[in-house]
Amino acid sequence: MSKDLKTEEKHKDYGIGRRGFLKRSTALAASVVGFPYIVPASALGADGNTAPSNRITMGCIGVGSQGTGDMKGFLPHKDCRVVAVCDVDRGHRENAQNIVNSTYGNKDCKDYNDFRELLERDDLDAMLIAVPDHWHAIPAIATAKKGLDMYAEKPLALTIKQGRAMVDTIHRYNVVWQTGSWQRSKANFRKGCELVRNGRIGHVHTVKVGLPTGHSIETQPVMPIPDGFDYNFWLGPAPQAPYTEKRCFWNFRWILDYSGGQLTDWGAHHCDIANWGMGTEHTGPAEIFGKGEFPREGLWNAAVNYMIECKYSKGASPVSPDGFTMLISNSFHMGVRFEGTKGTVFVDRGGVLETEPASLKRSALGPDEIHLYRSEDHARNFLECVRSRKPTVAPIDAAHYAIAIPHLGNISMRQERKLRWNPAEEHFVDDPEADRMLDRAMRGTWHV
Amino acid sequence: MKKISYALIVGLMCFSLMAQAQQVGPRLRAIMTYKYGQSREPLTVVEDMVKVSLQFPAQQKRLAAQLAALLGSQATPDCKLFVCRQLALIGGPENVPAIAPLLLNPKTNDMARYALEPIPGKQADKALLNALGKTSGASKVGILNVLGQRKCEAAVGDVAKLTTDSDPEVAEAAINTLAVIGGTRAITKLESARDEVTPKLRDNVSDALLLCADHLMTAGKSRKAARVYRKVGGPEEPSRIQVAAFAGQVHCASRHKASRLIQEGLKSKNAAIREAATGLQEQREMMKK
Repeated sequence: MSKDLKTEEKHKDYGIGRRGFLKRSTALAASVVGFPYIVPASALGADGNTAPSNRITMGCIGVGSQGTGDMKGFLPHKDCRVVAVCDVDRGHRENAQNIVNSTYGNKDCKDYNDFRELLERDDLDAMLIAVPDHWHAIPAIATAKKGLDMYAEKPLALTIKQGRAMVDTIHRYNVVWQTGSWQRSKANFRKGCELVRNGRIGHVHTVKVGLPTGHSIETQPVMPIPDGFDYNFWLGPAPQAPYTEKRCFWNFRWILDYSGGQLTDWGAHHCDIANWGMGTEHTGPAEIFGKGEFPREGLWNAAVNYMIECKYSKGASPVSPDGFTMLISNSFHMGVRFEGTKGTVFVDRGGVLETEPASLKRSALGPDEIHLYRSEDHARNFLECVRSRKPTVAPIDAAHYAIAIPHLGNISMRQERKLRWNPAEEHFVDDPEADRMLDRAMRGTWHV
Repeated sequence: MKKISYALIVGLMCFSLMAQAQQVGPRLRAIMTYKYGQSREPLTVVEDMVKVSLQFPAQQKRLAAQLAALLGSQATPDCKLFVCRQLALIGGPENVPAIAPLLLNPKTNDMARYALEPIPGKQADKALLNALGKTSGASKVGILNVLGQRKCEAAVGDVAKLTTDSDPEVAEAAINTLAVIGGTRAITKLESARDEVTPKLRDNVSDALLLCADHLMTAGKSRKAARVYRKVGGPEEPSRIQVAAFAGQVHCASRHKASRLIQEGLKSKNAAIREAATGLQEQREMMKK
């Protein structure tokens, strides 16, 4: 949307909100495309372009490799306009800015080091957030408080409590949210989950979630902070630590101050699919026992090898009346395998959908059966929901309950004991020591 | 004479710290000189001890005391940071006196908060409240945030006074802290603060009251929550606040009343409310399916 038509105050006079304007403009465009002599069709989007006033304006917080990839997913959509990028690394920032400007053929994209300054703009409809995990909660909550819709990366949050704060805030401000759990927008994952949800493999007793093996690295030397990298801002709420190259950017994933290792990085995707198939998107396990191997030396300290056993109570899943077990490990094949009394379903990336019996794969769903949310394009789904105000295919609650499983596994592994969990109250059962690991204090003035 | 007394005090303190350090075993002594860049193995050994101690309360207490003793020793800052993070896991009220002094130094305030935030009991609350009056800037903001996370109701009075602090970061943190603590007293203080804070922070107070109303709703106090939502979401407020207050009223209403509110919302003069009502209706339809 163009800035002159965007401010809330201006719309207030006419009773037209930002998104109301988007919806009405779409209707208007549809009604007049047959009259190009009155209004140039290109201005209204009939030639595949979208009228500037009808575009969803988007800012991007975090444009490293993941964020830039996500941003590129939005650039081809004519009804979306990336107007600003924000990153604490100048190199990342300028790279993203150049990509946006060369796509649009102008120099309009603004860049910011501090997301709070970006949030001061009054011309934004939505935000794309792809920052390291230890940063997920803070900008997301600040963005929600501004009333902006969000596409944000998984894993939802660094801790279960931060995740809960995010869920509550997104609901409080009634903003549209989509997690970057794009596997939900792939037909094989959806079909596999639909087969499970409709009882085609009988009662499910076991779900095996296969994830990658973690990494270790030797102790790293303290290094000078690269020019253009605001390292203190990058650390943000995490404890003070000297700069070394292998701490930052993609590798933050292997350090427990900033993430949870492969377990949370991939677990966010595959545990989400496991929950989708089992219908456990609003609950969690009752018991968790994790065994892991953590590097005893070196910079990276997240689990390298792991096996987590989660037991779900009776009634937790509609396809498992007697309860079921979810096993999460790097010793399984990558992907999600549902094992039931009448067969199995296995799903993975690359369109993999394998069933036992094999004929199950071809089984069609009847009109009265459970049809899961259908999205063919993750970015497109988000943009459509920004307009329609409908929930997206990857809502925040699902992301929270999905990542809670790996978080619980990490806590159990780090305490080397079996833990009992109350998923409704989101705390451990009579276990204040384990509860202490549900969150951590933040450095400096940062808070959620 | 004064110089001699001072030397005596310093000498006694050093002796005391050395004595405390002597009490710790060789595995803990091994971490006292730890600096980033050295082998992490000695830290890993202590982490193992902490893990094991979780299953043996007496051992946990003993180990926590030994770790706390290192905070007053000449251990390196990197060691003390590590120790505080272990105390976050196993520290108890009896360790608070060893941690509390670190709150007053801006260089150690963070690590002290890491340890204190999860330690149960009033001792930690008292230490934080005591330090609140003796710190400023980032340290004060950090302490406010921890008081909020601890849901320290005893802090409401002191925190409320800071909502009009001359340091805008402190004032903002105080408002947020009241919201996180929640409860009737915090709501009363926030409602008063709404007319007292700087114009820039007025919306923060509205945000805080919305959070308080959410707490009430979660606690099953729907009527009280609805009252707060209605009060916060006046037509003079920014749309995002009105929308949140409207959604809050819908969420805490009975099914029948919620439908009525949505219908009213769909006819609202405010387009943002109409959009919110549309979204809420869509959500309810999807829930039915």
